[in-house]
Amino acid sequence: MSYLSGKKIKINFFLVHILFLALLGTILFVPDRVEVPSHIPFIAVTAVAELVIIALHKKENIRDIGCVVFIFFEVWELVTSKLVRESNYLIPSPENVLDIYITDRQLILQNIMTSTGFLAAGFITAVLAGLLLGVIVGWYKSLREIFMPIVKVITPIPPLIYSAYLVALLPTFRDASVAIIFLGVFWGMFLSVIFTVSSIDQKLLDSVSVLNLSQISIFLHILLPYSLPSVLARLSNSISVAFMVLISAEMLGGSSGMGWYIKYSTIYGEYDKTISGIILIAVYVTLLNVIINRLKKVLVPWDISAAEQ
Amino acid sequence: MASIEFKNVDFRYNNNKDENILHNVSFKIKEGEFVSIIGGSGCGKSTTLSLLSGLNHASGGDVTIDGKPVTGPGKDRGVVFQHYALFPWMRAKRNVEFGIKQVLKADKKTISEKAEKYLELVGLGGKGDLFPHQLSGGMQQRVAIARLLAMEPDILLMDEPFGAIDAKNRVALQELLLELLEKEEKKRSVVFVTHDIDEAILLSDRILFMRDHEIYRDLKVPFERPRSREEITVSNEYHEFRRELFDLFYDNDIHQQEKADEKQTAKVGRFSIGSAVGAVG
Repeated sequence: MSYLSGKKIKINFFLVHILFLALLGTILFVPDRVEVPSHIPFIAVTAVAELVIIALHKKENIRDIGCVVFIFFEVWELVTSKLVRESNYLIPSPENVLDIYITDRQLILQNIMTSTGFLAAGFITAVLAGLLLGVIVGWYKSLREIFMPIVKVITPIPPLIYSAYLVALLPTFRDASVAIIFLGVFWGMFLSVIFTVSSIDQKLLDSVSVLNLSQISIFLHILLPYSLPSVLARLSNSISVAFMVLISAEMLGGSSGMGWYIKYSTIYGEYDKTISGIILIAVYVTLLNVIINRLKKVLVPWDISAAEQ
Repeated sequence: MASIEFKNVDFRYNNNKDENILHNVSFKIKEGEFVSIIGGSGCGKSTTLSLLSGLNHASGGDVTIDGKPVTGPGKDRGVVFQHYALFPWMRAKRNVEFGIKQVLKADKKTISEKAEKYLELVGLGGKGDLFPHQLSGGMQQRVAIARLLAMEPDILLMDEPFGAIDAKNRVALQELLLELLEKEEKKRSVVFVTHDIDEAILLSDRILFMRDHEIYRDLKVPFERPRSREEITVSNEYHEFRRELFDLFYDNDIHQQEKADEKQTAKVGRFSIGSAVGAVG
C-alpha cells in the first residue's frame, strides 16, 4: 500500500510541472488562429501559479489543485485562441481578459475603491452596532424578551428587498448602499450576539458574581471578550453577505462600483471586461477573508479554535 | 473578624416547594478556622457554600457573618470554583490583577507588583504572560489561588477547587494551600467543599459531614497545626479517623440505596397492580 501511494505522489509531483510546461509550450509555440493581445500577462500569471506551487510544495493537495488549474488554463487557451477559426466574443481568451487589467486599470481601480468605501462603512458600523447592542440586549432578560421575537421576524428578510425603497428614501446612492449593507449584516450579527450572551455558562456567571463587578466592568471585561470569538467566527460569512448585497445593489441601481462595472460591460457586450471583473471579485473576497483570519488571531489570541486554524 | 453562623437554614428553589435542598442546617465557624464540608453528591454541600458566597439566598433561617446577614457577594469573601476559575481571555497575570482591582484602589505599578508577588508565591513566577489555555489544569488552579489570596478576603470559600485535577497535582496543590495559609499573618476562615476524605483531613480543623440535606456529623480533626502529610499519615489516629469518615460514607451509600429501593418498590407495586388490572380487563 505504502509503495503504491508513494508512487502515486511521485507521478503527481511531475504531472503538475509537465502540465505547466505543456501550457507554456501551447501559449508560445502553437500559432494563434485568431488575433489576441500580448501573451506576456498570461505567461506571467501561469509562471506565478507555478512559483506558488513550488513555494508551497509542502502543503498537501497544492499539486492537485495546480493540476486542475493548469488543465483549465490549457483548455481555455486552446478553445479561445489556438483551435477556433474566428474569435467568439461570448467566450473571450485569457489574453483578452488579462489585457483588461492593463488597458482598463484606471476605471477598475476607481470602482474597486468605491465599492470598498461602501463596504467598509456599512460593514464595520453593522458589526460594531450588532456587537454592542447584542451584548446589552442579550444581558438584560427583559430587553431580550422584547427584542428576540422582533429580531427573529426581521432577520430572514432578504436585505435586497429594502434597496428600491432605500434608494428613494435616502439622498444619495452611497447612503442607500451603506444602509443596505448595514441591514444585511446587522440583524444576523445582533441575533447571534444576543444568543451568545444569553446562553453564557452559569458557572462563568457565578465566577463573575462573586467578584462584585460593576455593570460597566461586566460589559467591558466579561461580555465583550466572551462574545468576540463568535462574532469573529461569523465575520467571513457576514462579509460575503455584505459583498453580495453591495454588488447586487450596484447592478440594480448604481452608477459606479464593481457591480456596476460588470453590469455595464455586459450590456455593451464587452464580455472580456465582465469576466475580468468576476475574477477580480473572487480575488478581492479571498483577500478579505485572509485579512479576517489574520484579525481573528490578533483579536482573540485566547481562543483555542482560532489559534489552531 | 470573620465568624460564620448558619442558624436553622432551609433552602429550596422557588419552583419546587416540596423538595428541600437544605433542611434545618445549623453550624458555627470561628475566625481562622478551616472547615471542610463533605458528603455524597446532591447532599447540599455546594448549596451551603453558595449561600455563604451570596449567590443564593436562604429560604428560611439566618446566614450571618460576624452577626450581619449575608445579602449578596461581598469583598470580605473570596471564592474559587472547580470550573471557570479564570477568565480565558485574560493572561494569567491579568487575571490576578483583575481580582486585585476589584478590592484595591491603587496605581498600576502597585497592582502589577502585587500580582507578580502572588504568582511567585504559588510557583508561577514568569508565567504571567500565558493565557489559561496554555497552562495545565493544576497551574490554572494555582493562578486562581494566587488571585484569591491577592484579594485578601477574610473568608475563603472553595468549591471542590481541586476536583478536576489529576492525583499527583492535587497533592501538590493541597500542600501549597496548607503552606500558604500557614505563612500568612492574618488567619483566614476557610470553608472548603470536597468529596475527598484525605483532602478534608489534611486541610481542615473541622469536618462537617452532610447527608440528606442536613448536617449529619460535626467532627473535629485530631491534629494540631502546622501539620504535614508525612507526619499525620503515619499515626494510628489518622487511620482511625479516616476509617470513621469512610464508615460514614459507606452508611450513607447503604442509606441512599435503601431510599432508592423503597421508591422502586412503591413504583413496582403500583405497576404490578396496574398490569394485573389490565390483564383482567
